[in-house]
Amino acid sequence: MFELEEQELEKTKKLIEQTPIPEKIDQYIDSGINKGKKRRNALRKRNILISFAASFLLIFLVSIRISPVFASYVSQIPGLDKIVQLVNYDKGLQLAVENEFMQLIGLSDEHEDLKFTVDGIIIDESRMMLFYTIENKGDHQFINLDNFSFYDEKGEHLKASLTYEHFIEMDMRKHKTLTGKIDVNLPSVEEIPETITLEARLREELSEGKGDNSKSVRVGEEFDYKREMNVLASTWKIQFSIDKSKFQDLKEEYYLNETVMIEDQSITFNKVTVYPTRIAVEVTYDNNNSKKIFSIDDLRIVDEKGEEFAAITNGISRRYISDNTHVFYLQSNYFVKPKELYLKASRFKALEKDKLEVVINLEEGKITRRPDERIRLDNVGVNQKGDEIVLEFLLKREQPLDEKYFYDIFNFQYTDSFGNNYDAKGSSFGSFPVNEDGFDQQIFYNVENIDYLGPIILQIDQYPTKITGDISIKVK
Amino acid sequence: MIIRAQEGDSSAFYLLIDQNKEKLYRIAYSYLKNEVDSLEAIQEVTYRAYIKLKNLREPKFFDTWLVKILINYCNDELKRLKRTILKELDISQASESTNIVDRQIILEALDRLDPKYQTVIILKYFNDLTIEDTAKLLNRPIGTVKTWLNKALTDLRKTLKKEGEANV
Repeated sequence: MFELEEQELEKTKKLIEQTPIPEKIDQYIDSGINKGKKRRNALRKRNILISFAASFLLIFLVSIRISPVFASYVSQIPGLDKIVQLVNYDKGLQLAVENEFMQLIGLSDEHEDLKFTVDGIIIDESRMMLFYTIENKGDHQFINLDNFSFYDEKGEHLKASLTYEHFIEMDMRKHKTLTGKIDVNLPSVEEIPETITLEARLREELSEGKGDNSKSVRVGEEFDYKREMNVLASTWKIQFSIDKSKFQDLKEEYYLNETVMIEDQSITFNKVTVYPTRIAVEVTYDNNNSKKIFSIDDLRIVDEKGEEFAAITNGISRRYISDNTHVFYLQSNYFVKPKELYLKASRFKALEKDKLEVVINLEEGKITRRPDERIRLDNVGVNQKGDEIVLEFLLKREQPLDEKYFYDIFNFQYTDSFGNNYDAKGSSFGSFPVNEDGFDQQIFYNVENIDYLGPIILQIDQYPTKITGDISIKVK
Repeated sequence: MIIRAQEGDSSAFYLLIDQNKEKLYRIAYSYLKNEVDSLEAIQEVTYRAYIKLKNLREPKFFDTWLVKILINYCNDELKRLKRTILKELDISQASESTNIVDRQIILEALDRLDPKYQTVIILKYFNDLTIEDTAKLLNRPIGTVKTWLNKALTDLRKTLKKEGEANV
């Protein structure tokens, strides 16, 4: 039917077949691969950023329950609406603000066209949340907290563990102010001074308009912020006093000492302490357990009406007292004044104690031992400076339970085959949509780039494997 | 090998592309008709395949998958080129035994076809793909591909006729 056309096409095919393949083709393949490598690295960095950014967004997406009384209280006090937004991921903190538990401060210090204000604090015996605002009065663009410390009235450095967020892509030319919070884990109540001085250093991050302007590269570059920032010369100092009477002796302690068995693993709930800003649950795992328990996925406190207060996901969520004793922090229902309290849980992350090591042969770039197929070594690379080896892992995650949570799985210390200890040079994690399911997590672990004798050994601190069983313990 | 490449082994990936490079180059050439653009196509396909490799569920489809990426690229590229200028056929290296002018007419006629018709012709006649394989590659039922092929040849005939008349 189409003989003529087919003949013509056949001849054309011959012509095409006779076309020589240029030798240069290999160079083009090479450069395609190199371009791909660069892009993939940039994408990965961006994905890490996205997962951090997503956790920020989460704060703002959670709806605010506001009673009319509370709404009018908020509107009367300037700046309080911003603070309400900063705590609305935590029902307990929201209740604390609603119940006027916040101590308003409103003191500031200004240098280099930047005004740093301490807006207020929410403080109890276990913790202080400090809310601050940075206002741009000049032409600053990407400002972040670089470093800060707290001092008592004698000028002594207060030792406390701190968590705070890093502002990403917050352009101060567009947003004149940044608001943030610092979560401070306090030492014992006796050591909380009447007056605290906050000394903060700020830094300017240079992330815009550098090199290639394509979005991914720019964001990727920003991830290496250590190389692209200026710490500003000034120190912002703000001294404020704390009204200790407002929170002293408010905590309620309940001793439980109740032991439960979950899949043959023994877990003892020692005590529950209810503070206005959080609830601390102390748990001890039996030394003879065959599995190491890493965490409790769904630990929550429930009152007589069935209202649940879950774990603190944004901030300090637990503390290790010893290897076997952990304290978990839950959102507090202190201000609800519940009549009855129950502690509930059903899922525990745990792994056999003889599977806690991941052994890596760096020369071959292979995992030689791992708990199971969930973890995979994707790549062994070297950082730009060449002083660190970057291990890239892929962790298959359980869904949908782990969907929202990303976590590091390795201990910060690793060892070589002779038992020498080393500290990791860095570790980070992010989501990486490998397939449509998209729940897998990528983990980077940087180790010193030296010649190790034999393989290196990483310790697992967290893993998706679980044991399950329902627990309900009456607290009061 | 494909699995090794998927796990991030870039030398495995290089070998995979190397095995396919002649085929890919010829397909690119039948679309783009000159060395420079065809080489660029190879580079771009290598790059796209590299970053998308993890999305490939079935390693056994790797070769077809590469071709698919290439065809998508070439179609986009042709659209872009048509908007600028119609490129001259690069004839410097062609053999003298073939009637180059005729061949140029055919290739240009192919260019004027709907992209999907052009694709089925290129796959079937220049790369010896069966109708079944073409259907698999394009993710369309066999019947559709047959219809396209028929339509493609009809359109080609019309175009060539017009060309013929114009050349008289």
